[in-house]
Amino acid sequence: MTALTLEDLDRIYKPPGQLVLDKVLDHVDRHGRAFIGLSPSAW
Amino acid sequence: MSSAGPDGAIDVSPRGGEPGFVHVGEGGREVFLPDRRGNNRLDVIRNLLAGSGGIGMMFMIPGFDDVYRVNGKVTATDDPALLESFVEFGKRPSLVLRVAVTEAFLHCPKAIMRGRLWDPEARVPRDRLPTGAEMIYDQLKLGELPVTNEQIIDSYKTQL
Repeated sequence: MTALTLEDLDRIYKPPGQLVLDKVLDHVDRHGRAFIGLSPSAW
Repeated sequence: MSSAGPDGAIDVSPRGGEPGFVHVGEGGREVFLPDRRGNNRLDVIRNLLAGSGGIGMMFMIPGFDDVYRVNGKVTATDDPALLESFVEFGKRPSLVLRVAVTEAFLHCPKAIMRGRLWDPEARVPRDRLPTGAEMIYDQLKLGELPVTNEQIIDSYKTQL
């Protein structure tokens, strides 16, 4: 079994789409607050 | 929630409570998690206090395939006033983790959909495996459980 390197990931996976990158916020917004407010479990 | 200790070793542990048992601070820059009595291993909390304090969490809602993830840095407190604001099941938590949020985002539902986590037809009958207590007794070669599973569950209910 060959252990992969970080560089191998670029060969195996496409880069993430822009939306996937942009959706990461630096705070919990109103949607996140509502989601956490309904959640009975944190993993 | 997951954490890494100073040696890089990782631990993951679930937390649960009534919906909304985790509080979000004003402005959404802080999240507060109560820590309630468990088995006292404190794997995650020891990691958080001894390591970098970095934490990763994901929130789930029964029936929802979306997952909400929050990453951040933790400080812990046993401030009585804060503990009092987290009384649940008639008890205060042992401490509260304050998470300074660094990243918060919705995770796409594909993993939960693949696993059919909430699909009633994908539910596994509990008798497909021994109970957790039965498995532990077998792992440790302790023989027959001295109490019934119902008694164990009842005792847990008084410790929530």
